[in-house]
Amino acid sequence: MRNIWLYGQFLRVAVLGKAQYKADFFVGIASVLVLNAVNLSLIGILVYNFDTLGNWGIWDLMFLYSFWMLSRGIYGVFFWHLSDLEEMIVSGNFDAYLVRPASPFLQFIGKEISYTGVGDFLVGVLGFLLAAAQLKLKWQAGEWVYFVICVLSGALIQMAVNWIGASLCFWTTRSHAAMSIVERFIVLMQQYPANIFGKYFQIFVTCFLPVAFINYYPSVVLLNKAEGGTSFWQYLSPVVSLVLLFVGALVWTRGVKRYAGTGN
Amino acid sequence: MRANSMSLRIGAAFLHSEFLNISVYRVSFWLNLVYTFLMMYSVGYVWRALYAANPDAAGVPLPNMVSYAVMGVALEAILHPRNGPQFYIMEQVRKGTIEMDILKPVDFQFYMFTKNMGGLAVRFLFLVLPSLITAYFLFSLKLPHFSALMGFALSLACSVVISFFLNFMLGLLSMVTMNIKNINWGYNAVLRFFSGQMVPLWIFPGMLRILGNILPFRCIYSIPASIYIGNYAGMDMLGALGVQGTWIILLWISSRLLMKKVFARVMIQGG
Amino acid sequence: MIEVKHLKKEFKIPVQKKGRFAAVRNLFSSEYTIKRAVDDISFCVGNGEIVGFIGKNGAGKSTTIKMLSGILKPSAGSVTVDGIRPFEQRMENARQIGVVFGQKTQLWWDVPLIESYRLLREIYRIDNITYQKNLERYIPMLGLEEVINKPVRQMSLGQRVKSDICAALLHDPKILFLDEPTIGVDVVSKKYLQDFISEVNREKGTTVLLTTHDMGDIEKLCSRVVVIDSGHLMYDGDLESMVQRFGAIRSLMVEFEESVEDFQVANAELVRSEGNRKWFSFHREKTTPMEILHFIVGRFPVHDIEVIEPDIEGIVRNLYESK
Repeated sequence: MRNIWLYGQFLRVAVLGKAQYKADFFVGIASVLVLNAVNLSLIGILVYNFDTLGNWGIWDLMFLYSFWMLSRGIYGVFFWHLSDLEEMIVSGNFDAYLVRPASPFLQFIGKEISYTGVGDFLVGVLGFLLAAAQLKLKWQAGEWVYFVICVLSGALIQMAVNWIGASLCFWTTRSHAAMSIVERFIVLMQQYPANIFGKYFQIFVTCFLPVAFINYYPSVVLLNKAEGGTSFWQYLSPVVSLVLLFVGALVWTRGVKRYAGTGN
Repeated sequence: MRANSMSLRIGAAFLHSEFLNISVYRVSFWLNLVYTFLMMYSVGYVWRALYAANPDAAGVPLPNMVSYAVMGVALEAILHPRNGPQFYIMEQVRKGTIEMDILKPVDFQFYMFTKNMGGLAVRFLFLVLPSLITAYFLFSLKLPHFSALMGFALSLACSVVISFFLNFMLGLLSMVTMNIKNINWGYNAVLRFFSGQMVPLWIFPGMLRILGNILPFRCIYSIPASIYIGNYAGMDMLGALGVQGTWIILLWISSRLLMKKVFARVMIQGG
Repeated sequence: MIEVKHLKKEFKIPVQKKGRFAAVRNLFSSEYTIKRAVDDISFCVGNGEIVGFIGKNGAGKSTTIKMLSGILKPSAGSVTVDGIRPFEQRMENARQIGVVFGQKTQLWWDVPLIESYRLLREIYRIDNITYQKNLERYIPMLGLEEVINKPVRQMSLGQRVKSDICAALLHDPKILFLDEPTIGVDVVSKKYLQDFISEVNREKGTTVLLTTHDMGDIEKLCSRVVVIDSGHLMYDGDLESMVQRFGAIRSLMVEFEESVEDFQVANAELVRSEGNRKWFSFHREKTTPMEILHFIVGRFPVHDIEVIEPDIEGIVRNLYESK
């Protein structure tokens, strides 16, 4: 309880800090919109020429993309600065978190919020509404609940993957490069349905770097895209997110312990 | 003669320091290599999936298309704006040490170019070549005819120069506006769209295709990759190289003019 | 209050390979050497003491402070701070200590200073009365009234360090660790800081351990100094006996009526000659100024003399060099 209260206090200060840079806010959102427009147009051009992509039509792909944007927006607002960890370790600023009577993780996570996530989330909402109208989705309450849970799970999966990646810098000092590569990989992956990538790749993004659970499997379930009926494991996004969070917590804890052994 | 041997020495020194750089950050080097493989693999599959639905829509056979896409991924390792000189310039401007670079007895643009070529050569040797060789064995990368290969090499050299000029001009802008992070973002997005790196320009619909052909960005990925797969052959190839050459001259002149303007401003303002 | 026994800290440092194709070989593996940053150090700090911790850069000062504040885990030996082992009981330790690293701020960069303080109140769970009382006392003492509503990024270094020290004391810590608090700080702010630290020490009995290169800080604040070099303890004791023990080299300046040729004096060394003046340095136990003068006055007409006692900076330099 105290930690949640404290996190709230941290966020309050983070928002106050961001409010100092109003120009950046609009430029940041604008550039997010441009980037999303480019991504969507490229997919649009492909499907305009080829009609479908692995049995996914243009509006299915729109749904897939918007699903990702919704979860990425939430992740981005609260956790975008995970990649700052490297800089904090190298500069020694991380030390400050260890001399205060609060969890270093809480202090680090509460350090900042990011507004680019707001742009992603807006694109997500817009795209989802468009896709839902075009696909004539008629969902029951259960599907809505599952949808919301999966968007949150998707945000948590992205957070956990980046959390684990960032924590690597406790061992290697440099983790930014690794994180940016994973990020670029996710960016490309989430735009396309994973079924087009062949068996090995699907196994990779399902079992090893389970980014297919961010938006692909939830979309398969909700759009009923699985051939021969949905399998139970395709529903498992929330479980995957919890498992990854657990792994992230483990890696982080061990990393902080190691930091105490090596300094910077 | 002396200037030549000096620039050679400078070039060798940059090459060496860039080389040390990648060996110090070896984790990121290996990850970059893995990333490049994953990307080649996945773009190949995207095109296969698209062709499965409609084999004739792109106007070229699938193996050519896959080679085009694999080339786009491989070349990204040297042509992505993140490897350009603009971040170095921005950093120097921020630290207030850019005057030191400007006042060096070497032409600033030439200095930036050699410095940039060091990193580029290292990335070409250690990222692009190994990934292309692997791609040949794993992802059925097509080998071009001799003439196409020569044209490709020439065209790639041109695209390196063109992308340098564009990045360099962005760097010059940072001397005026201080922060080009957001501008660079926008440039990145436009480049991704109009360079044909991910989706070839010739399947763009009407107006967008015309716009793409007017803008210089297609010189960076689209032209060398198209020559490689034989889409531009014979006179078409010479024409495409001519377009690149024209852009080099245009961008060279405009970057010199911009540099003169910006330097005049920087020197008046002091630091 | 602080007990350090046989404390050691080792780091693993990667070695860059040299020679042919070194860069290529570095792509595959790297070797390490062990560096002992702190090597068998023992000392105690009593309640309410101000102890100056001095040594060259890389001598192991900051590493020791980091072990005392719970950031680093000792490789061997033991540390207790008021009976608490800092690393194993990090949270408990954090509540009773305040830490300031002069070169980095622990405040929130973009928000007004007062917001940082409010947040620290929540983190340390400072009750309202203590918080208000401390703010009202410390802000005027440090001259922070004009910056309390300013974001930290707009402050001068002096203002920033003062704000940081105030932040570190809001929760009434028993012990204050200061790592180079005055480095790069202007003279006026430095004076504020020194007065403030000695005032808080007197008023609240706060134990202070500070590392510094500034001998002014030491002379003004510390009754006791601990000197370390290359991870070893060189000296631990009060300031005067350090001067006695290591300030053995004194000098004598003699100004003659006219310029004279250089000459030798028994047990002393002619170190400098300028116009009519000459400087002789000598060891405290080998000869006295009187003996030297006695020798000179018989031979040359003397206009003026001055005995120069070593300053602390010189003593510390001697200390390093004598190793």
